[in-house]
Amino acid sequence: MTTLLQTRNLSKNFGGLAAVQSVDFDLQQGEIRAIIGPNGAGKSTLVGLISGRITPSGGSITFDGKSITQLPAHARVARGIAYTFQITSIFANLTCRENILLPAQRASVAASGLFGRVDEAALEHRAEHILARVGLGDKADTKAKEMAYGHQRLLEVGMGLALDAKLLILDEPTQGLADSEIANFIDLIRAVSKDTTVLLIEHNMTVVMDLAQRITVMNFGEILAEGTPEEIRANSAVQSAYLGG
Amino acid sequence: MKGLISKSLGLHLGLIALLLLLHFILPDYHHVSLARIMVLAVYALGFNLLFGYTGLLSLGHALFFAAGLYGAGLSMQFFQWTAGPGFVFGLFCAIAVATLIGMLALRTVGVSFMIVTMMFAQVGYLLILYYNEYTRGDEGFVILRELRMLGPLDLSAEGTRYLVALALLAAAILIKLALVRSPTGRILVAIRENEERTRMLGYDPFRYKLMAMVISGGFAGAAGAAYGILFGYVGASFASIQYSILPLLYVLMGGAGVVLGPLLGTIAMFYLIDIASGLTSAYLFFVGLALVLLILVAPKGVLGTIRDRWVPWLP
Repeated sequence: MTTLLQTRNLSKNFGGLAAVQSVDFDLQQGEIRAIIGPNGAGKSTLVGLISGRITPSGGSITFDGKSITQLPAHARVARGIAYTFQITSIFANLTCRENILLPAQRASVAASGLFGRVDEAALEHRAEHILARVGLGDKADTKAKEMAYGHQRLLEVGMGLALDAKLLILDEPTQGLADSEIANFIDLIRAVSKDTTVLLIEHNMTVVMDLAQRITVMNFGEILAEGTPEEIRANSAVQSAYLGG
Repeated sequence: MKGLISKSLGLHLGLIALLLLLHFILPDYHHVSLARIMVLAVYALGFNLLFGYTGLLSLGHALFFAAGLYGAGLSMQFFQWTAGPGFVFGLFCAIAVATLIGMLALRTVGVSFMIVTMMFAQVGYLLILYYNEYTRGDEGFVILRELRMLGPLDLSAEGTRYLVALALLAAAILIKLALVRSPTGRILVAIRENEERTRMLGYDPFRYKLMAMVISGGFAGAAGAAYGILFGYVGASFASIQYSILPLLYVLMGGAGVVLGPLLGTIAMFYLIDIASGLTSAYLFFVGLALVLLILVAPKGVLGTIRDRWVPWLP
């Protein structure tokens, strides 16, 4: 197994608050990893640092064997890191199809330059395939803002999928989903993980325990524990962090 | 999708054909007016690319219009160039200025961007006045009739002028249509709608905004150069703040983010000012009234509202 992502000594201070402190985090190619922890533990900040939305105060990030610490966020996407937002951030005034076409066309636009032509028909086809995969197959022409919140979350996940990334980061993807949608979501991520590494922040423990092969627990900006779901369940430090003690 | 492309292409080609037809039937006065409108519409089409599609409101576009106007006018005046080289040089000047201003102004956003672009345009305006030894300042200068030749075509002749203006407008419409329907156009709209999300889809917003600025400035410069060459006059008033506001009015009136919005807006605003100023010296009152009515009845402009209600495929 090869290491896809590695952070060393990664830190972020917001004023006097150390949101992430000297984190050494390793992610293996092909795994599904969940990050859990109480509110304010630094989970979102950590994935923000990895995706490039937040600049680190110190430390380094290596992705796919190369340092990406200095790369801006859009260049990291080009290297294969896809990030989906915790607070749904879709193009509200555009249709679902357009929302998916934007990430789907990224690779061909990068290859053909500013004025190059891309194969629109193939892109459309792919967009429809992705919409069907996240369960929005009948919503292609619906404006994103006209959909229910749960469907907007699924569209957000679809946009992440359409980037065809090596690493898919999902920040609280199941928030606001109905139980039946969660079951579909778990199946979807399992299917996706066949050729993509998945890193997810999740509060829903059913999803975490069902999906994740390994779990990283954060507390106060540091990694508190790491292990398989069984190990984490049995870990007393984790229990006290969650229950207070 | 295929049918859709041919439908919108058909609409735009049909419109160009209609303008060609008008060449043969319009009375003199409106014939001259429409030639002027078509050149100004090219300016507004470029403005719309930046404002309507990319979501950047520049209040300094007169600088690019003037760069084209003076680039063409001064080079023709001093080097005795004819219309062809003069136009190309004017276009080049506008693109160069837009690139430079874009690289500086695009470091700011929102209101700051509006102020910075307006300030640069004022600098340009004042420079024209300051170097009045060459530019003749406010008074301006006339481009010699014998230089306003494109090969064998005499561009000061009314018929030729109309057709050249139409050719320029047709090129501008078709270029813009191709651009907004391309993957790049999709990215510009995405930046307008949600810049942070667009960045996280792997696109560098600065790069695309700069491209939009350069193309928009190029349209403005082409319009400026053509205006000077076709109508024979170059003056500092074209670099004033009023000429930065005009394309904004045209676009708001016709519909921001619709390819044909600026053309319709230019026609409407041109004739509104034309008719109102024939009735009263307070013609700006009517412009204001029209804008208030527009905001109340059709806040997205005439074509923007039509697209929302009836014709969703309008590009």
